[in-house]
Amino acid sequence: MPFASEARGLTKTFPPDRTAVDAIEFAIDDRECFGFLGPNGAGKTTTMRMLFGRLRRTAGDLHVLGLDPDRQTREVRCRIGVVTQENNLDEDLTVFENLLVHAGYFGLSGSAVRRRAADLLSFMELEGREHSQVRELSGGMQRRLLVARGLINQPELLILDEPTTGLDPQARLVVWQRLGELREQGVTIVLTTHYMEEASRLCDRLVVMDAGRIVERGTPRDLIRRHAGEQVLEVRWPAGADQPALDGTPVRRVDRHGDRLLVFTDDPAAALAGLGGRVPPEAMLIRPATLEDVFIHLTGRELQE
Amino acid sequence: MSMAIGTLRRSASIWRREALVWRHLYRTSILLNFGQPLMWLVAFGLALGSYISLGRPGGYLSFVAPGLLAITAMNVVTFDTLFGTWIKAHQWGVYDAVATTPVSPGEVVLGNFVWESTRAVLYGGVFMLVMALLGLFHSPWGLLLPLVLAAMGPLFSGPAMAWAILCKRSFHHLFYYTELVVSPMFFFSGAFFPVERLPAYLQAAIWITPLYHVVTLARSLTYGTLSWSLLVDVAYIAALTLALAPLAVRLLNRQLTS
Repeated sequence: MPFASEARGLTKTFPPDRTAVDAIEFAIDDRECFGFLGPNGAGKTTTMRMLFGRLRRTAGDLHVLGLDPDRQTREVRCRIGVVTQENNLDEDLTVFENLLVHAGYFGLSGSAVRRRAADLLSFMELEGREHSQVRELSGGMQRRLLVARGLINQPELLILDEPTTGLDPQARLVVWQRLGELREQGVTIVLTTHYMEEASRLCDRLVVMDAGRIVERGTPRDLIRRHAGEQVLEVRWPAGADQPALDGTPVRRVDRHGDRLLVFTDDPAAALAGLGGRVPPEAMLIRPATLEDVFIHLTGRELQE
Repeated sequence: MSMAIGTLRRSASIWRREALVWRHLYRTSILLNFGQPLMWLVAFGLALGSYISLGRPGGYLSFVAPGLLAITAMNVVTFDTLFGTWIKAHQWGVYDAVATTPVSPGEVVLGNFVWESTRAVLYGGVFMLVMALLGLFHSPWGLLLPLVLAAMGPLFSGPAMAWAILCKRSFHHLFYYTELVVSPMFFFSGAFFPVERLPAYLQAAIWITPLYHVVTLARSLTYGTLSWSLLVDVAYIAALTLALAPLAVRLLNRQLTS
């Protein structure tokens, strides 16, 4: 089966000598949701911009829907939708006009497009706001309008650069539900995020980027199993105190972050016993391992949001 | 052939965007772009003009009206392009959004050119109506004036667009253009006085400005004093337009692809 997008040795250097993306490889399947996870400055946005030909790659091969986005920019853009990280809605136009004008950029007009625009507004729960000015919308509504706009040309592939950054939990939930439905409908989705929950929930597969490189790849479950195990015992542990010896307990790894001790284990009760019963209940937490743990382990730092 | 149709359709989508925006703002826009030239017409033409004798039919009012028509169209095109482009390229990300679609920078520029022609004909046309009401047309050749107005769209929006794209760092840099390009043309392009008696070097400087050639054409059509030398003015306008247009395309291309 052909890939929706494929990259080999993909590199982008900005003058004078900043390498934003450093020889990365990926292959995105048709109809999957593929995530690029990483802290700010990891090269995610640069990668997205190369996908739709906004940035020309410095080296390597890149194909999107079988086309070269540098040489066949127009053909690629006709068949994909892009939701950029920045809010670039047209503030001089109403909500509905934003969709119509954007459709016009694709050469689409007429009653079919008006119908599609109305459908997309109700799909993104924006019905009744057709004639609002963009600036009258909340941040969450503006994001949803951006997603609706990205879908106006019925794209085969949708690129979303941090689709829910800055949204409150409810607004985020709406976007997640809709993206889930789109995936069900067979749209290939490529998204960047630095929200682990988003990646876990939406992505079939993902790569973790750091400093322009891909440091790990796989399904969210695989990554969690590989790097964090099943459970995490989180303990408040004074920053100056010695690291406890947990010999003889089934512990995979112990990480320290400030005054927190993270014990990665498949048997938290045994690990807790290994700490010698010195931990009061309010100072500890047993939880399932998450992508966040993987992420911190791989990139060596907390997320910068 | 089908490529050309695609380009036209995509340029038309840019035109349509501008037309929709205009529809929201036209009341303000008409007041700002039309009130002022009307005041000039009264102040310069009627008031000041009563002291001036040029030995031409219709007095000073008839002389200055086509000049003011050209200035009106120049301002209508220049200010809309200058500030509009800056906002679209650097402020609201309108062109960032366009750069996710099949519309190319060249098509953006072409769409804007045609839109600015539309504006020039629209606002200039209203000014022409006032001129007609005041009896300032002395020849049916004046009916060709909308063609001159249309040509002013690309002529004046090309360089204004290029400059606005260059002003990435600050909005304030836009005023170099209005003060160093627009203002000198306003005063020195034969709109308010005949240039024949000026020193030769000043005449040469005036000849270089595009507005001078527009004013010459507009005035000749108003009076019906046609001569073959007008072809030189037409050729100069065409050459300057074609020379400056690629600049805007190249700068926008650089802004939207790197």
